[in-house]
Amino acid sequence: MTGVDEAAIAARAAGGDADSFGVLIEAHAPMARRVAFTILQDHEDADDAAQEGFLSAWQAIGRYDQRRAFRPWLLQIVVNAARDLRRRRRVRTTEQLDHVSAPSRDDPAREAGALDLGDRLRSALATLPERQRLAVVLFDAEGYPQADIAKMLGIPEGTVKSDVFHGRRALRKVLESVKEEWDE
Amino acid sequence: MSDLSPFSASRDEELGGLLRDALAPHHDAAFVTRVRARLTSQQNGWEEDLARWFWQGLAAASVAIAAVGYAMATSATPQQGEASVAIELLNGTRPGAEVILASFSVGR
Repeated sequence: MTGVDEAAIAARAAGGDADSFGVLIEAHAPMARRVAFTILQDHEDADDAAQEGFLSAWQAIGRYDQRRAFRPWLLQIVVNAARDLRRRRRVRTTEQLDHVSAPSRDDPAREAGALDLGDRLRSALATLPERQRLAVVLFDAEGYPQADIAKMLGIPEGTVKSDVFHGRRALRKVLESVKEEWDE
Repeated sequence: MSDLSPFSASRDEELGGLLRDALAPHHDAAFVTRVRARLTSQQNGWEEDLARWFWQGLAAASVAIAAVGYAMATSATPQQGEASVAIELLNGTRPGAEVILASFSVGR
């Protein structure tokens, strides 16, 4: 979908056309679910948050500024929905499971105990602070400019750069170790 | 692996691709169907709510109109009654009219 197509579809959705909004859901669902997973680290929770994000976006579509790109606007809503859900889950988890200890952060790849690259990357991501996870995923995987990420997360651009640096370094370490295992 | 410096402002395409694969959710079509169904039910919910409120509003408005009409009708009757009593007193047709009129004049 080009930017022009998307702007036209978003304009129709803003006029109350639910079918047009359905097209936008279809186009952006993978991205929304990936980003929600980056925050929540759980596929079911991520799907709940992404769904909540889409429903909130539909309710707020009348306020969407059609001169601006739709994707970052939607992503901001999904990030907020995922963070809200995480806060609710955290309260519930603290109430119910306060005896469970946090996982060790020494060597996530070894802890995962799997040779699957995807598992190792997810495990490595899980050890990073949320802001670093989001910065590296939004920049390297989703292709957002660092200035946009800074606005989205409400942090200075320099902080995004630093988070991308630290996130990349941790993930590359894991990737290098997988490569070494494959070479042996 | 990518040769990009971690400080680079350029995108690390290789890492980005691997991350997208690692985070790729399953069953995209099922998810889209689920969200669209929620959207539809939410929309229908709105319309049903609106319809219910419309009929409730119409019923309430009818009751209010009937009440106002009744109040206007009943409030008109005593005024007419009061006027007719005054006229009867002045005309002297009402029994005891002289006594009542005399009591007014004594009061003054």
